[in-house]
Amino acid sequence: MFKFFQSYFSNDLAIDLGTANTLIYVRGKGIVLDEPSVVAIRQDGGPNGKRVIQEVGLAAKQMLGRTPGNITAIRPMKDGVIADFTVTEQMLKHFIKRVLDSKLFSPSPRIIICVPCGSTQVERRAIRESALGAGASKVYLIEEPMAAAIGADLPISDATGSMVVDIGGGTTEVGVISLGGMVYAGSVRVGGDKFDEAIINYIRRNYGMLIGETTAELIKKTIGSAFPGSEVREMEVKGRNLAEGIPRSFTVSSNEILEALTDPLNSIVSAVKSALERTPPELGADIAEKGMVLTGGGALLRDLDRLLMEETGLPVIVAEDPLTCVVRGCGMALEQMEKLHSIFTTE
Amino acid sequence: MTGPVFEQPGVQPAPGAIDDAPSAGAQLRALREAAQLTLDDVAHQLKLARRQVVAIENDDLDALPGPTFVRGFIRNYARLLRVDAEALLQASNLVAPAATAPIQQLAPTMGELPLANGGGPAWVRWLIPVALILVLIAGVAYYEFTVVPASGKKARKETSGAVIAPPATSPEDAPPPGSAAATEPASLPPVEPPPSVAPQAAPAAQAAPATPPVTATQANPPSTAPAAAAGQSVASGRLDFEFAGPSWVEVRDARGEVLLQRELAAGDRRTLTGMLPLTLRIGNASVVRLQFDGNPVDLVPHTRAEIARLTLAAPRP
Repeated sequence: MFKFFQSYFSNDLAIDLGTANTLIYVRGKGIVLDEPSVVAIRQDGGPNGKRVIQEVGLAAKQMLGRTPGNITAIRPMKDGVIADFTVTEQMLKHFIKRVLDSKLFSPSPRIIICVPCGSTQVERRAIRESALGAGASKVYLIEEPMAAAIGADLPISDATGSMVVDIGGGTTEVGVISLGGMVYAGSVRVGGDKFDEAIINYIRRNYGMLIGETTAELIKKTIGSAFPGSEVREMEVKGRNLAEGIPRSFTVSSNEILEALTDPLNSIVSAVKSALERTPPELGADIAEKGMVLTGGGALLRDLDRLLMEETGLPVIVAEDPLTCVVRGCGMALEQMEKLHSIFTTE
Repeated sequence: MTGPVFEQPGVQPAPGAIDDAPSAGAQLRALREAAQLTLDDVAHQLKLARRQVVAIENDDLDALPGPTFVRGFIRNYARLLRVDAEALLQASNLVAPAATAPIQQLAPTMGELPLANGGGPAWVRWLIPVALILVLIAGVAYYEFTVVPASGKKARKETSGAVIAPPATSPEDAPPPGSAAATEPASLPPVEPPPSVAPQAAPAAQAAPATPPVTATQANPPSTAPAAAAGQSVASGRLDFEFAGPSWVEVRDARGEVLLQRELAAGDRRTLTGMLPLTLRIGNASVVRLQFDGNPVDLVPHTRAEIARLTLAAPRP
């Protein structure tokens, strides 16, 4: 009975405020929102010229790189943390408003929000403040590797080591977890964005063509791979020729993209290796038995698990539905908030 | 780094290789043997121990770390053999529990949201300050109309007491323990007062009018001053009221005891004696003539709105 009332009145949220995508989990309902973290802002002219939010989420992402002068499409998160505080707060407010029913006396939600484990106190404070500004009554922070491990259904509370590698849009988080706590947490600011950037740079250098971020992301998703395979895929790409200044079309192959991605992939591999080096031997043995688990959108890069397998000699598995692992983990933490204390982080 | 090549699952599932009947392990073993791979080849490719590969093929889940990992291992194994992993997982009842509800399709992005100043009409933001100011005004009004008379009386009592009372220090007795009490005759009653002011004590006090109304907290032997000998050294005073019209009077003595509280008609006279300082409230003060120890007291300076409030601490000189 009491539980019924509680579920009726509470509208607690778990948010994965990611560099690329923001996902929201509502207690008792599941994941209700999955939108790109992009905001389009329009500057009005005239006597009462105001800055207003034109679009948020998917619609704003489609505007990226295609905006006229008075509209700017912004990604307010960068490298896993807040780059533009005001816009992030407004974006969160916007998403929360869309997720929660607008009751007359709706209580302010409690929010669990995940932060990169490598973020500084200032960056965490910024995330907390922006969630409070967006209408939260209370904000709990959880480190991303912990959330990813919970979401991937790893035995985090057992006395056995579990290793999770969460490759997000802005950061790659490596965590070793045992007995409900983080034994090792490492973070490198390499993620999907760096992959896109590497592809843009490679194509400019080798083809003399300029492509946008959206095209680079499309290339990565279509033919990008992390390990040489037998099948070479090709893709036709359109961009602006730097010498002629005219849009041209050209073809890139998966092997070229593999070459382009070498640098950011090496950063991830070395982060994983450094985590393994610093893991206590008993937990290392557990990890050697079970392997490490990849989560996050970066885990969808073709053959990334194969690359890590070959580099480390350990089994690597990709979690189910890696894109939503972190928010599912946050959601499970939300459902059992009263029982789980050790997983939340302080500033 | 080469060798059997990993492919995305489901790209080209081996036709006819998968039967519905056998379990995932049996199917994988059959496929492996068809691909002419040894257990060691598979273990090397998957970076697993040989016993783990054997356990997968035997569906020996207890020898494997846990369902999450088993699913991952089977997926990797299936990819190595280029078959669809989901069918294998279904065959072994290893499909992951339904993760979450599908993502709801929400209303499309709503339009303009002011960036700088949050929602609501402009007057809403003034609501709270205006409400606060109204509450403040109401509080002040309440204080003015109801609380002020009482507290004003108190303040006036203290001031008039201070005006009328002579300096508390006397040359003959300045005892250290009693000095603190002696400086505030209006506020501190004596520690050991007589139960009621004896009429005999009054003349004695009058006989020594120079004795200041020091509250005698000291328990010195009554040998020094005649006032102290007279009766617990408390000064008392006599009041004579004469009424030319209807009025009411309230008189309290130093302990706060009401000596007189009643309405009086024209022509009435009242005489009473009480322990100093005496606190008086006299209604319709213009028709009252007051004598304190035989000396007339001018009520006009103490009168406000026809009510005189004053404290008498010592006989007028």
